[in-house]
Amino acid sequence: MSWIVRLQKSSLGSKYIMAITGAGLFLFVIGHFAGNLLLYWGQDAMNAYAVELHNLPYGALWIARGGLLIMVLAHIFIAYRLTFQNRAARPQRYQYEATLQASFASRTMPYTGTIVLLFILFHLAQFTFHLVAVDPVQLDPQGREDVYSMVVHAFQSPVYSAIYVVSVLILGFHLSHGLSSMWQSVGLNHRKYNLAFRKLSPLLGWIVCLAGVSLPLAVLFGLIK
Amino acid sequence: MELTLHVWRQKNGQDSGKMVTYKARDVSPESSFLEMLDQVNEELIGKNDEPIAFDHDCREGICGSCSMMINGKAHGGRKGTTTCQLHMRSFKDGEQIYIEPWRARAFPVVKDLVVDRGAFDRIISKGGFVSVATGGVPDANAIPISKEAADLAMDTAECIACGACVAACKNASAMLFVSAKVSHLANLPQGQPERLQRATHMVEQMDKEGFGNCTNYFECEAACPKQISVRSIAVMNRDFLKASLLHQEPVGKA
Ligand code: HEM
Ligand code: SF4
Ligand code: FES
Repeated sequence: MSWIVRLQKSSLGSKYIMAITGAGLFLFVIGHFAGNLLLYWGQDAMNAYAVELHNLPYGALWIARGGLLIMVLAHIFIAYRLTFQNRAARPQRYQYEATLQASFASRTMPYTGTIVLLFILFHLAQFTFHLVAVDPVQLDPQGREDVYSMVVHAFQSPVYSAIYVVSVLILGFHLSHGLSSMWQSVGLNHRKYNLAFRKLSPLLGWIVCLAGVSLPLAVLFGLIK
Repeated sequence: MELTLHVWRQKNGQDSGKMVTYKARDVSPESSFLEMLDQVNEELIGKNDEPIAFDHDCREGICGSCSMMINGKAHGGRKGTTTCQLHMRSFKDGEQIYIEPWRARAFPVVKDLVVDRGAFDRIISKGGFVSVATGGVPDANAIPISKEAADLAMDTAECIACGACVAACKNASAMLFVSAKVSHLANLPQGQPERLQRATHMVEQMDKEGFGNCTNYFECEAACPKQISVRSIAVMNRDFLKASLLHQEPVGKA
């Protein structure tokens, strides 16, 4: 096991973990948003989906939640460790700073990541733990938890909708660098495939995030009631 | 041409240093950046002032010593060009020019624009070589190498260890330099026996020296006067991963 401890401490080992956890989190985001798109199919579809998630066999929901928690914690812990090491590597900055080709998204990863982290905490507090900014959970006509109305009602507030829209767009921005960078981190860089690595992956990130952003907007503009 | 220079002056490693402004007068557009500095230094010496210290040797783009940040860009930021090969015609008459040393914890300033790049030597000593038995001169073509492999190796062997990649990187990371050495030898048959061990040992030493990590900004690639590609970083990432996962344990006897 000692080799794993050594690997995660090294500069390259940290990058492998960032890439793998980042990709894993993105797969979760795809699944999560795909499920949420059921909002367009109405109250029955959404609430039935919520019940099915909770009744998955073999405790799959808890296994998935555990895996997710480990990935998030690893991603965040190593992100901050890398950021502090990177700052320490240049104690004295240049008086004249210039950039030749590093993208804005790549230079702001720690900031966009931190905003995403704050958003995740808010999102959990609201819809999972019902601690802030949400009415007490009601039951729908079939006696199920009315997830649909909870979400729709929350998104009818322009303030909450704005928080979701802005945060998910910032996630899209985080991913516009992350999803192209992760391939290089694990050593995948080849002229034949770089179109997919550098262009199509971030494009997929934007498509997923825009699909997510469409939900609060659809509620706000009365498409979903 | 007449230019206003803002130059980092620092007596030694302990001194805190500061920017000092100088005028460079009657500069020929045909002169190189270093010749322009020589001219300023002659004037300083004439006035009994301390000349600006900067590293230089070959003045033809092959030794890698003429390290300096010019207006925030390593070697002035002209594509594939070292400071010694940068001409004053790249600047406008009357321009303000900021000249600073490489900034990295692993490259301490020795004096003015001169930094200690010994960290690179220590990384090389951990694996930037092939071990060969000395003896008679080997046959020229005893080890076949394809043209493609030779070309790929040459692309990265061009690295002159100037440190511009570290200076330009927002994280002061040395990945491009180390990966250039790793992939240079990874492309050659002579480099195979020590390949994985080389990647491991050089990366370990790089981490020890206090360089930053890679965020894949790819700023290094744009700053490199030898235009080393970040593809070599991918080669190093692969080799280090393979070495970490498959590190060979001696089999030994049961
Ligand atoms: C749903 C949430 C998230 C997803 C899908 C995600 C995805 C990714 C991906 C794919 C990468 C690229 C890894 C690489 O370059 O190899 C990355 C990098 C990064 N992430 Fe995230 N991330 C998320 C949340 C966060 C959070 C909450 C933080 C901060 C607290 C964060 C901070 C960072 C940083 C700083 C990097 C750059 C690391 C480096 O290359 O130096 N991310 N992320
Ligand atoms: S990789 Fe390029 S920038 Fe870095 S040390 Fe070698 S020649 Fe200089
Ligand atoms: S002086 Fe040798 S590369 Fe510039």
